[in-house]
Amino acid sequence: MQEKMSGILQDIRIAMRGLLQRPGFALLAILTLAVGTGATTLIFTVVSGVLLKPLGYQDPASLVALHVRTEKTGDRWGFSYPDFLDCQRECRSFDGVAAWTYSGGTVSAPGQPEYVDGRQISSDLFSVLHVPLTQGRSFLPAEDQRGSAPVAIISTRLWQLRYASNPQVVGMPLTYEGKAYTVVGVAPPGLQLDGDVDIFTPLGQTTEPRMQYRAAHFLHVLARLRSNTTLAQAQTELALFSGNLAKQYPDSNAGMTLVPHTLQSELVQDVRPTLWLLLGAVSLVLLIACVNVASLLLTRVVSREHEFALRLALGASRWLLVRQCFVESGILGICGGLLGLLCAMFGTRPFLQFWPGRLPRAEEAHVDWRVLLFSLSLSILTALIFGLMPALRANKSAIETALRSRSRNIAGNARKPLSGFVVCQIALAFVLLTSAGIIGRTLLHVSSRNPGLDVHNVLTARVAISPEALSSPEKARAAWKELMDSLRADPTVQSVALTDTVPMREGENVVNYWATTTPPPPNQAAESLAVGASPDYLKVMRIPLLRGRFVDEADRMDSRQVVVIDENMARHAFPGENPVGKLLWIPSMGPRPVLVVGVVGHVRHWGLAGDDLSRVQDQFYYPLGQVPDQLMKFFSSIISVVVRTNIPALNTVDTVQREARGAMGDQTLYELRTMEQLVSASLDQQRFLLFLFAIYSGVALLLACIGIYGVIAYLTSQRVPEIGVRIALGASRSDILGLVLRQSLVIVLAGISVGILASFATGRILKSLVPGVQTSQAAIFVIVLPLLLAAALFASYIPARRAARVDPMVALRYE
Amino acid sequence: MAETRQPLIQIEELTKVFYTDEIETHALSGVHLTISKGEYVAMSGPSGCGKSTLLSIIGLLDTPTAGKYLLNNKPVENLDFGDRSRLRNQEIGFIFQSFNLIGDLTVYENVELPLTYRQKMPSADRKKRVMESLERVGMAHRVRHYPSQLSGGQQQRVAVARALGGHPSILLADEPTGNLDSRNGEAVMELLQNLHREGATICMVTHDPRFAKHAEREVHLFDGKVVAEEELQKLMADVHA
Ligand SMILES: Nc1ncnc2c1ncn2[C@@H]1O[C@H](COP(=O)(O)OP(=O)(O)O)[C@@H](O)[C@H]1O
Ligand SMILES: [Mg+2]
Repeated sequence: MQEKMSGILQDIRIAMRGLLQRPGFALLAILTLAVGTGATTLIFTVVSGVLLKPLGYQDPASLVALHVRTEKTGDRWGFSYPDFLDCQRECRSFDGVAAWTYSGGTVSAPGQPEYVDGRQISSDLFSVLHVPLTQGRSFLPAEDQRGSAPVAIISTRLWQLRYASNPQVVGMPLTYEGKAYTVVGVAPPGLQLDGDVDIFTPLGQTTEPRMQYRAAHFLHVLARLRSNTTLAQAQTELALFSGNLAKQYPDSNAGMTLVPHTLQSELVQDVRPTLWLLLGAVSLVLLIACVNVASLLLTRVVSREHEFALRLALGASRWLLVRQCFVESGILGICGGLLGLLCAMFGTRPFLQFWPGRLPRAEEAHVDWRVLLFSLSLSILTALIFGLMPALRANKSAIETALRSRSRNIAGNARKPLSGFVVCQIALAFVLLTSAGIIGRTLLHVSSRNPGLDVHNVLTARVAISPEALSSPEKARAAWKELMDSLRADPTVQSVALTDTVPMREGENVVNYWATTTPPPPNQAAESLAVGASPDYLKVMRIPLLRGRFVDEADRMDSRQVVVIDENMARHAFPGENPVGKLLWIPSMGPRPVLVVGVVGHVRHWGLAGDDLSRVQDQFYYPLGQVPDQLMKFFSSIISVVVRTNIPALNTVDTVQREARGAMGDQTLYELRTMEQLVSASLDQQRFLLFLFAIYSGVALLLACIGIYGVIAYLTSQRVPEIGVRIALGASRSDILGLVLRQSLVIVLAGISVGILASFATGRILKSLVPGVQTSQAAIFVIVLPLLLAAALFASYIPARRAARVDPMVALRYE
Repeated sequence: MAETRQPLIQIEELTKVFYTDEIETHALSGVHLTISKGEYVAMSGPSGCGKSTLLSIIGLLDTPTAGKYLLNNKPVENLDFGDRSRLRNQEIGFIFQSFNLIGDLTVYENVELPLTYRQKMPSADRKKRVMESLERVGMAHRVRHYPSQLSGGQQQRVAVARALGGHPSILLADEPTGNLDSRNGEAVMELLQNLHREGATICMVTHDPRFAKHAEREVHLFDGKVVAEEELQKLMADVHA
């Protein structure tokens, strides 16, 4: 045993000496590996933090999110409040069931007015999550009722900012949305419910009408599985339970099933495909790097054949030779891996800065034992991969050479494995290049699409209206009118409108509708995006009016309820007819049918790329002037202002913000975005992927070129005598150049053929993961093929030219 | 009879100096040599006297440092690489000591190789030439074999066929029997003699006096100079003394 150890130590010493003797080779190999393992470890760090690491809650495996599934809409998170209450009362699979929904508003005291994100939660949310409060208590069931005293739980941030971290904060007052609340607890830092939350209020105190409707699906529902209940058992119970609900309330619940998902899978479902895609792509880069180092090592082993033969002759076992090869590749692998790990440690944060939109659990992505383990196994695995070929080779060639007297014929004999390496590299680089090409073309293609409106010089913003205005519907309407008037007074402002839904921004309302007097079966109704708008909306957005009229000032509470539909809805609801003057039934707007007064163009609301794939293709507009009084307060929390400006919209931000203060100075605009920014952000995912794939494929191309260069240089160095003979027989320089380039061309073309086959498969994967991707790749091949060919031939041209300068005298001098 | 022959190679005052690491090696210092068409010349001399160097200059593999070289009455000492390649391909047939067949190519392809470097030679013509020269060396039955499947003597015969295929003005052989046993060596010598009888011009380097006797004329090289036989004996005696 000890002998073995000292043998290995000896091997390490020899390998180190060998590497130090050729520092260029060692450096190239280590850097190549560092690029590969670094990029892979970095992406794995993100994958590990976001997808693999258990949630920060206690016992996360038993936390489930309950979804509503219908045949038509698939799986969605939206629960209605009555369904939630029934489920909470009746389902035996769970220790607790909790619900929450989005809210938010202005906190005006203590301290300066500020808009904060809030959540309305059921009283047992914290206990279901097993998250203890850092101060005070969570809501009591009695507080989770209409008419009980207003209480709030605040975030650690608010506690520090507004109460100076006062340990006696419990029981202190807080003014939120113009109403006096009592603070009963402080939430721990870092707690997220689909984003950061500053204030929690009891869901049950809400008086909004939607709390009563089983058809209003607006709640996220979480549940804690009972200790020996499985997900499958819970699913069975929920199926039974939803069946009963459907029988009891066929109007709202027919065809509807409740299904449990583990919370983790729900949180990250949107980014999961992208992350795996990136990890896949980056693994290809790593593979190319491995292949590069393998071919570097292989050429080294081949040139050491005589040394190996000698060692064999001196009595070394074959195993010892193989071991020495592995020791050498192991050292390289570990050095490269360590360097790669460093890259990942320092690169993860900057990398996440580039992530488009919000990456859930991004804060979890850092180098931990999981990443260390991954990185270590990666280094060892890569060392094995790229050490294996040389080791096999050392073994075989050593015997051959030892048994064979020196042969006189001129031939390359390491060509096959080496060429195989290059074929792999070219194929991998080709796949990455075409993927980048596919994404790039998609981006080009979709960014030239017509968004359906004029995006230039439009500013959009959410509004935290003066809390004073919320005290009555009349005051609210007056405040909104005043806001529009003061904005209109600004000389840089051309027109102003209000809407509850800004195109390509989060926050939208999808409702059912039908165009027949008898309603369709439950959950079979068509769906449309419902947009509340003020009369100037069309003018601000410059959406084309196709027929009839848009909503106008005459559409008021006391006049006939009207809607304006988009061209898609016109086609679907009234095929081949003029929709103007027709009736539509839209339950969310009341039991009476509404009158269609106009048709406008379709707007790509779900993003330039995403809109085509959206389940909901129809859109309609209704006048904000016809929003009933009891909903005015709710609407006031979701209305945004859109402004068309005379000068570039970004330059008006400050003045618009100032004009919007209101008479009391307690009004503020937030999330100010130009329409151009929103359109551009709708392609962030594609742009981000293009950015990464461009880097990956650039690195891959570079590595592949280094690989080709190394292999062709090696092969031609082996062919020097042969080339000398050819020149002696009258070959010209161009004959020799052609000879070498043809050899590399054969290898490159083989690689490209494999690459083409593989890229059909990857094209399909991309299509399923990235919105807007088309799989027809011919146009991309036209660009990628010559690019790769040119790069590969350039890389082989250098050794080829050297070969053409071989002195024909070697033919005479050779032995 | 020799006087009526036309000169093929005329060399005057030829010198070749190699510079390596600031050391000058005078491989050839003032060589005069004429080889006529149809002649069979054997070149001999001790190792390192410059035989291979002279042969490589005759064969246009290398250029002289100074001196004159007329091939077919045309000066060739200052041609560039491309012109020398072309002339070499057309006028010179090489036979090497170590055969220098290319292991990846079949016998047929090896013989065809120099012809493929010629511009515009129809493949039918090539095929005819290849088969012709393989028949002349008695290797036509081995066209599909690879060099490694042949004996040394057979390989050298294929190499001779490769040199013949281009219908060169002269065959240059640098110790063609050096890597062969005596029986195979004899066979190759016989082959060269037959070729000479059929009209080929041959210049062969050998230090085996038995094989030198096959030639019409023997040229002795000593220390980079051509010397007469008697002088060589004397010089050699001096060296040994
Ligand atoms: N490329 C070269 N560089 C330096 N010296 C050379 C080179 N080729 C030959 N020589 C030297 O020139 C001399 C003649 O060599 P060579 O013609 O090979 O002799 P021979 O073939 O008669 O044995 C020798 O001293 C040899 O070392
Ligand atoms: Mg020699």
